[in-house]
Amino acid sequence: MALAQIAVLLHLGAAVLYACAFVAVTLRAASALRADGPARVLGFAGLAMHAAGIAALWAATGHGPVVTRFENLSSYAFVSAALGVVIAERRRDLGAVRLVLLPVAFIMLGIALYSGQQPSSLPPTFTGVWLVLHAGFYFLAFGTAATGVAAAALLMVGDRFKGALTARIGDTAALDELSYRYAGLAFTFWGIGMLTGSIWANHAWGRYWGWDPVETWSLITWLLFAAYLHLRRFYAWSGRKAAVLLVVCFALALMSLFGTSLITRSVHSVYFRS
Amino acid sequence: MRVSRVSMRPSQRSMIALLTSRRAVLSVSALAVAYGLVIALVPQQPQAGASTVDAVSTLGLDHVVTTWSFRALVCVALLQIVCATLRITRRDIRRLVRPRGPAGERFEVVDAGALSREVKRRGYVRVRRSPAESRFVKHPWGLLGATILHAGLLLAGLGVVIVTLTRSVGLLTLVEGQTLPKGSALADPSHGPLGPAAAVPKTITLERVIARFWDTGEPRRYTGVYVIGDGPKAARLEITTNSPRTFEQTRYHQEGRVGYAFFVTLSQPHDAQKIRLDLPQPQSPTEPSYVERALPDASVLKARCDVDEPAGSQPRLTLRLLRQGRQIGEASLTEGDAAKIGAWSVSLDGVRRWAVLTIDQSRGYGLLFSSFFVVFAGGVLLYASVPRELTVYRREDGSVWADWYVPRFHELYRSELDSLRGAAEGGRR
Repeated sequence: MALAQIAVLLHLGAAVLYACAFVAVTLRAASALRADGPARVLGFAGLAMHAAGIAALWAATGHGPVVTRFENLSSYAFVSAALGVVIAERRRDLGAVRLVLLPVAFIMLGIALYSGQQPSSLPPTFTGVWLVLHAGFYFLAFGTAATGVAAAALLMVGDRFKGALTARIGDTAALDELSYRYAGLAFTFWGIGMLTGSIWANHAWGRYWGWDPVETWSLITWLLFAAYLHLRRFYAWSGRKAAVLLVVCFALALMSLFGTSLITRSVHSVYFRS
Repeated sequence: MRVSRVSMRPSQRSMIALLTSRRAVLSVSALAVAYGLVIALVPQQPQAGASTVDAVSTLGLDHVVTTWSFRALVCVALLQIVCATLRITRRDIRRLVRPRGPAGERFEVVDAGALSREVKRRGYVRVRRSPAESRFVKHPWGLLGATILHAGLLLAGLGVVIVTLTRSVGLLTLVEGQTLPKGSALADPSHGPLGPAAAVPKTITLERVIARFWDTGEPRRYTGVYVIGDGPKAARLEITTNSPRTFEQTRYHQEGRVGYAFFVTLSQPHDAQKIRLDLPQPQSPTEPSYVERALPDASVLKARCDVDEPAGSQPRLTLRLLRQGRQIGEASLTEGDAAKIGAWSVSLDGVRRWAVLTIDQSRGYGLLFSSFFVVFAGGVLLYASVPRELTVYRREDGSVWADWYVPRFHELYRSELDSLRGAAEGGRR
């Protein structure tokens, strides 16, 4: 069996394990499961299989998972799932973020597998450490933003249905702070993603910024994250109001990363339309 | 020696206070988002007045980045970051060197030994000590996170301004063996108010273009071999796509725009023309490249280039002559071949590669590109390395108390507070 086929099978296996882990986390939140052990084991197993799938893909294509739609979605899914699993390990009381992050990873893997897994040769401009850093920091930015939004979504649910549910999904004050912290990290990684991207663009095309649709939406997203952080810092925004704004920031992030590449023509579309 | 402290005038203070006020910061952020949305949603033209919709053009919505209001906004934002960085730096240094942490959660220390062990176990560092009190901080470097993050943003902003002001960039298309003298004009020139005119800074010759391919036949990398300068000081540079080279303060970028130049002679009994057809590099052996050329007699010459590079085949030029949409004739040629197309005799005299080189004499990239590391360090310190402060002090009545304080994410560190409090009260929680 070819390495590329093994990579696809490993990705399929990881998606199934993420789905099973999600079911276990849901049962735990509904008090149908007494311990979090099964969810944790399944989450780690999914991550390990996903990592092996990415490694096999890397070996098959000869380049990091940063070029095709399949590779990018797989990397975004991996970072999101990893953050969910690690947070649940470090802070058991906040493990409910997996209720959002595991489906995010599962859905992204599903779209990745559905959209075709043909490996592609890198065009001449798609090389170098700056491309890897650029894509890598955007994976981190997406994962941290998704974590922040996961906490914000749980906070809104907990706020809406006060009572026993709040105790199961975590303390709303802690969720609020978790979303703030991860939004701050997303802002930082997003900014670094833009900066490393500008270095790569300068090496590849001889210009560091070109108001390309993806670049413009990316800048808007970053500025909105900055506004969110300053609103929290200066105006002490918290709770539901801050959570809603963070969801808007995340929607813009989705638009920057996926929407613009599909809707408009851009130098970035090369990878995402492939 | 007496060291005088640099102090700011009241007007400077009020200026900084105004620019860094929460209302000003958020107003500038909101305006920047609004401008960004206009750029994203309204098709932008390269220059003012190019839009067909008058109202859009008059308001500058189709050329936002060249409007005075956008430039003013960028200046204000940059000034704001300068002021914020100054203000935050002063604040953070004060916080770093203060003798004791702020009052936060307060608890009595019954078992000093247990608290000391817990403080050590949790990685707190003693930063100040006096007979009356000791100040411990976990992640003291985190106190500088905001300063470093804002300094990184400032570096990036200054880098952008310097690059924009000193900008001098243009494109050069050369065929193998071609030399252009110093001062030749560059195509698509762009230069800022402080940048030199975009021109060839030194005599430049393209010796050859080396193309490398994937097994599939798709282009992998292009390397141009250039000789820059005259006489003994001339330097031979190999410039590869994605690996620009800097020579005497000028950056040379090998573009991915590379192809074949076909030197063709078209002749009729009383007429002969020599033309050069530049075709882009075919994307693979099965994907030819195309170009069209109008001839003086109103006919159109359509050209196609096929080549299977990994197989080592010669580039093949296929010419098709059309007049008033009707095909007159077609011929397929490799170097040295001749054929007839309609009334024309066609010969392919030579084939050489062409390549586009970007010549960039702007300054400030170092500042802009080094800022990413500073932003990274600042962001991680600010959001992932939150300082926790513990001040242990003795009251006048002889009892020992502790103040624990965390500037952000109090709820996320509650368990740490509980364990310190538990140790201080004589039993670990």
